[in-house]
Amino acid sequence: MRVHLATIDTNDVIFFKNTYYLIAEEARYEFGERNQNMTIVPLTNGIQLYNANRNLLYRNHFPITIVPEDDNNHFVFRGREYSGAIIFDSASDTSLYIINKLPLEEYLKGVVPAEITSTKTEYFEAMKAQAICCRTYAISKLENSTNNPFDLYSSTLDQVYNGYKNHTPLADQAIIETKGTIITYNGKPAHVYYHSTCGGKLEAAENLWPEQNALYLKGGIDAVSDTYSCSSSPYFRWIEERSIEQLDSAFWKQFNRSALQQPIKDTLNLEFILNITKRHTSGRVAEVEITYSDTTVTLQGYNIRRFFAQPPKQYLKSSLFYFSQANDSTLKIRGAGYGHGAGMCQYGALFMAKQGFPYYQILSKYFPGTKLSKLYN
Amino acid sequence: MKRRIILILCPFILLSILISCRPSSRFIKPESETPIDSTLYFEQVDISDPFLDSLNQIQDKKITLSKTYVPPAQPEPEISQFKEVEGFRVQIFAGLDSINALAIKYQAKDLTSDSIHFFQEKGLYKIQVGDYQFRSEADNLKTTFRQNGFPGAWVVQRSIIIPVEPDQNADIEEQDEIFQRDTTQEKGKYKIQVLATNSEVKAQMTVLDLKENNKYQAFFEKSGNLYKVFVGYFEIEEKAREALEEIRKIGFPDAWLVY
Repeated sequence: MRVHLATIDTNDVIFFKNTYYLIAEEARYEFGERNQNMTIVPLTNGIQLYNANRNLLYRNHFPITIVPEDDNNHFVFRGREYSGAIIFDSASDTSLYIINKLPLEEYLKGVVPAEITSTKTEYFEAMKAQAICCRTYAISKLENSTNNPFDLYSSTLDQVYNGYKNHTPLADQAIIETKGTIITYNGKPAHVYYHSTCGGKLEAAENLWPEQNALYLKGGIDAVSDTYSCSSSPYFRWIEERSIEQLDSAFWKQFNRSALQQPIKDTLNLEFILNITKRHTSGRVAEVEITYSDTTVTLQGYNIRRFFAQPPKQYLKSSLFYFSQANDSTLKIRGAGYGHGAGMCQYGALFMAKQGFPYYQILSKYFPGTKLSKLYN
Repeated sequence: MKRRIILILCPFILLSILISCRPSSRFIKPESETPIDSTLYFEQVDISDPFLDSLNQIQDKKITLSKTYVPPAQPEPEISQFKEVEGFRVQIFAGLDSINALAIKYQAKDLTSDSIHFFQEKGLYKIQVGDYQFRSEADNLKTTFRQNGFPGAWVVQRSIIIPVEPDQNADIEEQDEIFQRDTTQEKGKYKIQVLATNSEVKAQMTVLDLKENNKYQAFFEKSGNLYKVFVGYFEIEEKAREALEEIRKIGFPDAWLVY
């Protein structure tokens, strides 16, 4: 797997904990024992790598790979420890990708603990289900990224990857026990989605990503007997409030219209009219109409969660909510769940694992109609 | 043959009887059930939940938020509390001896509650008392000092700083029209310059005096640092000269004709 760690356009530093080699045409340069630090300087169509003993300059020579002497060797980048090789590739004329290349199963060891609780044995089956989901996602990304400089981002853009130090024994064991197993549908890796908390109602994938035709993600109630699976989640039910000033600020950021960005010179009567005009069958909000001053806009999909996000640039916890008024100028949002609601509910999986369900029952509940396939041993 | 068979079966029969009679077999715990594969569950569809129930029941209504914003109060424009004008003081000492000057200063304090100024100017230590806009007030104080041991006290003219009364600015604005040149009367090219001073107040007072005592139009104009008080305009030079004579007689001997 080639995992994108960062895109840099200014100097950055890598610290080698063990021996690494940069193998060039002219020589093999060693880092780690005597040259523990390496400063990376992006140049125009080039890169400079230097420390107290070396100064290497490359132009139009990408990608540059630094390989570990041993599979257990590590390096540190921006405070996080990683195993595997480092690749420098050109992002633009003046910026570089820092990429971590490592085997898929090693990559999963840095992903599963970041995605789900992996410290309690009672949740072990949920960890196995999560490991299979993460592997399936990575495999499907791998198939579509052959011509790209990297396969996955290390953030929520794909799957959160926190590197070597994030490993836990239980997550490692879950990955080993499910080695090579992925979820397939019609012989291909399934579109595997997961989220933190569904709030009791799973969303059908066709409402979120109609182009993917993931019919096995049907949505519906997520309960075991008479208990909602994710009812132990801190995000199962939540209440948030938005003042008229915060809504004005959101309107400014999304539609570049605002009444309060300018100093108020005259008495000003502001009015926000919010109307939920469409919901999906799960109850999630599909469309919101907002009238502000003389402007009316319609929000759909992710824009709804982005508009009501606080702080800005993030997302509202979920789109399973309804509006009420806290007072004349404050909106109250009563909501449930965290995330898009499609696929596997992680808190639901933890609950099922605690109840004694094996990982394949957890997966068949959240991805009905799919199969488990072993790609390799 | 029969006997042989019985002999062979006998140990087995005996063994089975012994096992069946073993008392501990009654207390053996049954093996625990397989925890996972046999788990049966169902999903109850109508689980009561306040949030989801209200989500199903509510009809999404329009939410209207409103708020009225009032512009912040404008800060009061800063009005200078003091202004510098041309005025009068009573000088009671001017000399090289600073110690003597200090002693005189303390003596003066017993005679007046007005401000006493002690400063060095052109090499001399000076003590001046009061800040008066009008000479008559300074003259009164001068008399007091002369009668109380300061025979050399005299009135000097100099810039003084006086407090601005709250509505004085407004008055001045109102009065501005009085002091401005009446352009409708500008029919001639002759005018009389009565006074040139660096005090706006003095110029204003002079204009008021002239308007009271004189039948001609008076006004002042600012020219550099000076405020010039004029009377005019006159179409004919003779009339202008007549007016000039009159103005010189009423206390402005330095007035002259400008054209």
